[in-house]
Amino acid sequence: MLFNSYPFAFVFLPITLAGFFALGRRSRGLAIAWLALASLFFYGWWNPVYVGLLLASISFNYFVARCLHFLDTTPLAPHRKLLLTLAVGANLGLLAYYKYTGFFLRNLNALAGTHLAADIVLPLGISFFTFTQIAFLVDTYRREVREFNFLHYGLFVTYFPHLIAGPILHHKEIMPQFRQLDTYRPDYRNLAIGLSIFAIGLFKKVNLADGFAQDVTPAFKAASAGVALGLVDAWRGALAYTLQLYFDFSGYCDMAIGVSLLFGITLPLNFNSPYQATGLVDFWRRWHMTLSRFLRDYLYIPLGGNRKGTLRRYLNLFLTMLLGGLWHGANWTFVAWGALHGLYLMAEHAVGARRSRAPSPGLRPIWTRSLATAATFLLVVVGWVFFRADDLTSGVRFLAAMAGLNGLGSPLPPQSASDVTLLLQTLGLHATPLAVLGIAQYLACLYVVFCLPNTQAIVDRQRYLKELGPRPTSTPRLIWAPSPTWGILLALMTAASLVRFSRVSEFLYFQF
Amino acid sequence: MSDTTRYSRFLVTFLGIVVLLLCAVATFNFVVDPFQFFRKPVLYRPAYFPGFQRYQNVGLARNYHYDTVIIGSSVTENFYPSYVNRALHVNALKLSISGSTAYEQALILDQAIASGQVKNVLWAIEPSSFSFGPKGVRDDQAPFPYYMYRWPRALNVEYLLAVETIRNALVVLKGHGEHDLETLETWDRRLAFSAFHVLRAWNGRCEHFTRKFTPAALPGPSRLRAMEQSIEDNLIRVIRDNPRVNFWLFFPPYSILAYIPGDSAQLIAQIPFERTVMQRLAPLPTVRVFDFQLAADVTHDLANYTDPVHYGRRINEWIVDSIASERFRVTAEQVEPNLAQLIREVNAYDLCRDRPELLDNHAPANSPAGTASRLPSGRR
Repeated sequence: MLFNSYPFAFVFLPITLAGFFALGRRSRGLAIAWLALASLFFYGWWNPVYVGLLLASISFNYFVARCLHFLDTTPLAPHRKLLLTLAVGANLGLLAYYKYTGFFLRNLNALAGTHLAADIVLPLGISFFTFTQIAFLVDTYRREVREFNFLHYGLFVTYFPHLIAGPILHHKEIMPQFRQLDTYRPDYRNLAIGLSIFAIGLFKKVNLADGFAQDVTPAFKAASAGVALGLVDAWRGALAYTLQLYFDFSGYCDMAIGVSLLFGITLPLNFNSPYQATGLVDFWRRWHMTLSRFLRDYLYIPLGGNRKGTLRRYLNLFLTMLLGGLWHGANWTFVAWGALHGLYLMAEHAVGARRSRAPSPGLRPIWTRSLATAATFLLVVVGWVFFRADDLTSGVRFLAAMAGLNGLGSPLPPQSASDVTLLLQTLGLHATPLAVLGIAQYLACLYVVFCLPNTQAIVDRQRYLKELGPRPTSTPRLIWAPSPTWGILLALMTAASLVRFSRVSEFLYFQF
Repeated sequence: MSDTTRYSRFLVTFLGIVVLLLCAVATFNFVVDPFQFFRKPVLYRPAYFPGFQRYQNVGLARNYHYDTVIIGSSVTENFYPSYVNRALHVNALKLSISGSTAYEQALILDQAIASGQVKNVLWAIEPSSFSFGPKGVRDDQAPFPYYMYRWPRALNVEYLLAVETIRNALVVLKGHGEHDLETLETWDRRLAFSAFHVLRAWNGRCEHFTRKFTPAALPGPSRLRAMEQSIEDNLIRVIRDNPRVNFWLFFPPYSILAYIPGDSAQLIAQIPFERTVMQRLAPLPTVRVFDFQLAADVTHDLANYTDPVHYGRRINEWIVDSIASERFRVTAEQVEPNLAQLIREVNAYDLCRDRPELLDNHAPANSPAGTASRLPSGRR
C-alpha cells in the first residue's frame, strides 16, 4: 500500500489511528499489537507471500539477539562474536539472494556465456528491514541494547510508516517511545503537525516529483536506445531527474514522519535540504541521513574509519560509498554512482586537509557559499545520471550529451502532456503560456530546493533542532503555525494532491 | 486561546476544507460523468473518447440498451453495429478494446451480461489475447483502471476525484468528443489497405519464407499453462456461467503473412490455442465457433489488409454475413484437419518465389519513394 493511495488515505490510516488510540486507553500491549498487525496488513497489501518472510526474519533476529544477550552471562561469552557473524551473514545472505541473485547471474552469463536465469521477486523493503535488524544485532553484541520486548521489537521492525522506504530506524530512538504513556493518548499538537508534514510530503510527491517524469523517462530511454541526445534534452532530463528524485524520496519520507507523528512516534530526519549543501561531505549529512548514519556506524567505523591513517581512511570512505551504492540496487550503474561519490568524498577530504593547514579563512562570503553549492549540485547531478541510467554505456552516453558532444541535437518528440497541462489546454490556455508554465515549474522547484527551508524546519523545527542546526539567515523565514492561513494553504495542497492519485490515460496501442 | 484549542481549530479548518473541496470535485464529476459511468447523459449530447475504451466501455455496457455485444481486440473495431444489426437481426453494442487481453474482455463482458439484457455475444478469440495469462492486463501505457469495474459503483473514488475526470467533463460540456457510436473506434477510413502496406508492416526478408513450421515447435510449458488457464477463466467460465446467452466465437482471418516465418510465435501459439479452445468448448451447447482462417481466398489476398493481422470493414462485413449463413462453422472434430491445412498453407507460402511482382511493384502511386520494399532483390 502506498501513502499516496485512496485505500491508505481514506481507509487504512483512519481505522488504524482510531483503533490505536481506542485500544491504547485500555492496554498499551493491545495498542502495540494492533499497530503491528496493521503494519503487517500494510506490508501484505502488496504481496501477502512476503509477510511470512518478514515474520521469519523478525523471529530469527529476535532469537539471535536474545541468545547474544543470554550468552553474555555464561562461559560461552567469547563465542558471541561467532554467533553475531553468522547472524549478520544470514541477514546479508537473505538480502543477497533476493536482491543480487539476478545481478550475479547476469554477470555470470556475460562472462561464461551461460543462460542461467532466476525468477525472484524482490520483497518490498527488504533492504530497510535487513539493515534495521543488523544494527539491532550489532548493538546487542556491543551491550547497548537494554530492551527485549518481542512486541516492541516486532513493531519497531514492521512499523508501517518506515517499512517500505525508510527512514532507516534505530532501535534506540524508537523502542523507548513505545514505553511512554503519552504515546497512547491522542495529542492535538502531534495530529496537527503530523498532518501538516504529511500534506507537504504528499504535495512534493504527487504534484512536484511526478510532474518531472515526462521529461526524465524519454531522455533516459533515448540514451538507452543509442539515440544521440542533444545538449538541451540531456540537461533537462538530468535536471528533471535530480528534482524528481529529491521531491519523490523526501516527499515520501515527510509523509512517513508525518504519519508516524499522528501516532505520537517521532521518526528521525532523513533529508535536510540536501541541494543546499556546500560540499559533498555536507551533502551526505543532508541526503538520506539515516542511511549515511548506518553506513558510518556499521560499516565505515568498523572498517577502521579515520583511525588507521590517511590512505586507509580514503580506502574506507571509498569502500563504504561503493557498498552504499550497491545497496541501492543490483546494477553496475549503482556501483558506479557509489564509486563516484567515494571519489568525490576522497577529493574533498584531501582538499580539506590541505586547507586546514592553511590559515583559517573565517566566515565564507555568500558568493563563495553559492559557488560551492552550485559546484556540489553539479557533481550530484552528474552522479544521478548513473543512478538513473539503464546501464553504464547509456550513462556515459548521457554524460557525453550533457557535455555537448552531440551538439544541441534535434529535440525529443513531445511526450503526452500531464493531466494539469491538459486541463489548462481544455480551459483554453494554449502553446505559449504552457511553455512558460514548464519553465516556471523548473524555476519554482529550483527555488524550493535552493532557497526554502526543509519541511521539518518549517513545521517542526523544535523537535529536530539538533539535526537541523541554527536557522540560516539566508533562507526566507517560513514558520508554520496552527493558524487558519496555514490550515487553508495546506488543505488546498492536500486537495490538489488527492485529485491526482489516479491517472486517466489514453491507450494508444495501434495508433489507429 | 489555549494551545489545544488552536490545534483543534487548525485540524477542523484543514480537514473541513479538504472534505469540502473533495465533495465539490466529486459532485461535479458525478453530475457531468464524462465516461457515462453512472448514467447516459441528459445534460449534454453523449460524447465518446476514442482510445479510452478501458474506461468508457463500462458505462456503455451498463447504461445503454442492446441485446448483442461485440467484443474482441482491434480486429473487431471495424464492425459497424448497424450492419451487424441488419445481418444478424440483433441490436448490437460494440465493446471492443484495442490491444486487449482476454481478462480485460471478460471483465467488460461480465459488466455487460450483469446488465441483464445480453442475448448474444460476437467474440473474436485470438491467442495473443489469451497469452497474458488469466489475470493479465495491458498496463504498459497507462495503469489499468480496475476501479471502473469494481462494485459497488458509488465507491469509485478514483474516477470521482480525478483531475482528469474534470478535464474530460469540461471537454464534453464544451461539446467536443466523438458523437457517433456507429463509427466510434473504427479505423478503416483512416488507413490504407494494400499489399504494399502489409509488406511494409511485416518488414520481413525472403529468408523468412524458408523457415518452416515443424510439429516439434510448441510454446514452453509455463506459457501454455498461462494460456490454458486464461481460456478456462476468461472464456469457458463466462460461457458456462451464462447458459442463456448465445456465443458466436470466431478465429479472425489473419493474412497468411502473419504466420511467416513458419517457425514464428504466431503459428506456434495458434495451434495449441485452437486445440484447447475447441476441446473445452465442445460440450457447451450455446456456442458456435467459426474459423475464418480457413478462407484462403481472403487470407492470401493481401489487399484486404493494412498489416499482416488487421483487415478492413469489407472483411468485417463478410465475417458477419458468413456467421449469418453459418459458413466456416467448425466443430472439435475438424480442428486437426483444419490446423494441418493451415500448416500446409504456411509452409507452402513463398511470396519471393510465387509473386515476385508484388515485391517489385507493390508500392502504390502515392507511396513515398524509397520505402517500397525491404526485401533483398537478389532473392526475388
